[in-house]
Amino acid sequence: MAGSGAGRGRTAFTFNIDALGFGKGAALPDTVSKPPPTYPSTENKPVPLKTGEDEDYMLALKQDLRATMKQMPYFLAVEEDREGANPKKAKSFESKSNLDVLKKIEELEKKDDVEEEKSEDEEDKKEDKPKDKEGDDDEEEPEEDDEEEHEEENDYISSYFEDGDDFGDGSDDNMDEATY
Amino acid sequence: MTQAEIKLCSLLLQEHFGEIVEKIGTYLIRTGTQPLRMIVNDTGLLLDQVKKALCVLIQHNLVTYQLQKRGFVEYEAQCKRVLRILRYPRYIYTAKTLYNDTGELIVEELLLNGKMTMSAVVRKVADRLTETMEDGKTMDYTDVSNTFVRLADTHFVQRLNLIGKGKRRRSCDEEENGEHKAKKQKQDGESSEPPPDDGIYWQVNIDRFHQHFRDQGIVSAVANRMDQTSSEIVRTMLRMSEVTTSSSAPYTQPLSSNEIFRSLPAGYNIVKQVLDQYLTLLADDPLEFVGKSGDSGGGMYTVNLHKALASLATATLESIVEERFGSRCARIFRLLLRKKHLEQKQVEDFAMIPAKEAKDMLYKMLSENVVSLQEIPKTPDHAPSRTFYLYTVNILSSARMLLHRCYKSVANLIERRQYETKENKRLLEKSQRVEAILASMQATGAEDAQLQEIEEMITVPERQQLENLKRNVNKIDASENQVDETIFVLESFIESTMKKP
Repeated sequence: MAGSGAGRGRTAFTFNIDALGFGKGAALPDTVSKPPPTYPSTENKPVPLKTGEDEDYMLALKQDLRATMKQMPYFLAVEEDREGANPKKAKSFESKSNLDVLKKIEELEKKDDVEEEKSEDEEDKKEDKPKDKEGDDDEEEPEEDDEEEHEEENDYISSYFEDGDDFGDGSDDNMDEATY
Repeated sequence: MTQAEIKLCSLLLQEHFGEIVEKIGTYLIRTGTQPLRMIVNDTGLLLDQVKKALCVLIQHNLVTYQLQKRGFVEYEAQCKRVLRILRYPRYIYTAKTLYNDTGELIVEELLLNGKMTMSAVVRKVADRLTETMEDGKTMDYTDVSNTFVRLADTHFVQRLNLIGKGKRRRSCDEEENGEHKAKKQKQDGESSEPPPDDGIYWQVNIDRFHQHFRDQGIVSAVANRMDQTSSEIVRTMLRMSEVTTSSSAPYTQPLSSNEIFRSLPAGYNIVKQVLDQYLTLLADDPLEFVGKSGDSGGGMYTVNLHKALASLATATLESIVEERFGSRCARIFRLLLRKKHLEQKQVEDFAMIPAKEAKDMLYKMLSENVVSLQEIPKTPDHAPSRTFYLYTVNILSSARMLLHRCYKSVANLIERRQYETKENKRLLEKSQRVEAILASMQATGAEDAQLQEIEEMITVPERQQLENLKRNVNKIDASENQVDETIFVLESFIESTMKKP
């Protein structure tokens, strides 16, 4: 190490200093005052791309292939999972009209909650495909029920507990009567 | 698998198969062989989705499965095979050059669908070709069948056996020929019956295409280095060796000069003596593409496949050093290749470059790992002042490093292309809508003035923006194709080196 002879004999190194490139008293490299650039500088520009019939044809092939594969049945878009899952749920909801029973079913299907939250996130991305229109009708019902369920914020089935007479009763619009 | 490879695989899967398949494919590549329940647990997707995605991946030969002794099935992703998606356009184009449009469409359908029965392929391709023909004409199924048979005979397309262990079995020539005749006869009589070859699936034989690319590379290298005639001779030798030599052999089986003379293409009128002279020249060439292995039969010659691949890879490396660092660095690089190990002083002397600059260049190349240092201590205590430091080029490790860089480049290119497309998504959608409106209006016979009005919905600066986008995307796509050519050369060389006994 260069610092081994600190103080006395400062300039005595264990190896030949000339090999490093600094002679005695020669200028040291510039001090570093800012972080290095994020990209290395390119003094040598890259060679231009090959052009020709072959290359053009392969380019067209590549772009066609990409477009075609997106139309194939093998392309599993993220929306597919909502398509597959929601119709099942929509059917089970439509057949029952009682709100309490609906809530019971939802709580039983609590394990699918994670997937529902995911589908709500994915819905925000809203990819532009014709399937969107079909999916829209199915989405509204589960969404509304979700919001109602979140009002409870607990696992208890609401019909087990009786609400007081005044709970949720009477319209809030009528403010003539004072509430105690 | 390196991070760069995993990233590239993930991008390719996402672009061609969607996000669900990408998630599962990437998970399998990262974690190795897994059973179904582990995949469901770790990816957090539904069982249904995982099953569908695995089906897609297996259908396209990207994932293999095996029944374990304990009774469950494990799935393994083939990372290298996923990377080949980048090369699909090259396979299709090669099929076009060899077997015309019919061959091109057959290979394209097989690549799009992974595996298909022959009857399904023939039907689809014939229908597609009929669409492009003039009204009233239809494409004959037998023509398409014939092309398919030729593709199978030359091994560009291979058969799979799905019933049984699910392992791929390559059928031998006689079996294939027998099958073809039987299938062809059934093909002629087909109408509404279920296909008689149900259960016999075909896929593209990627290795055979690679062999073809390798041969192409060698022939064009010889043509560049020497002349057209020598390249034709080498092409003949390679063609004769197609069936006798496996694709991973270091050199072809020896061929006698008499055999080569007989097999030259009909148009070539060179005398036997001239052929012998050419062969001697080729064998004496320092690049050693062709070697002489004996004197019987007028001289026994082989093509040194491994040496040829090494030369191609080295030439690629040299060219990259030249373009990246300059021609003087390239001079030092070639010098080191020739002399193997050199001290710094010797480099300065041999390359005839002043000491300071030579030092600078060597350190620059060293920092990029293009050259490496070999320490040879004079004393047991490895004191730096009493150690030789020799610069050397290790082709295998340089090739690996460059290959890794290529993977990273392609991944960057794809990401940039996706970014550009995303930025202009709104504009692209608008232009697609306008085109759709235009097309429907033209179909119902609208006036020119109305069409003009619709066209003007896209303003001039927007048109300019679209033009720019198209140009950029084309450029990036073309770059991806060309980087893949370099990837092929480097990968072939590394594979050939690793397989050497």
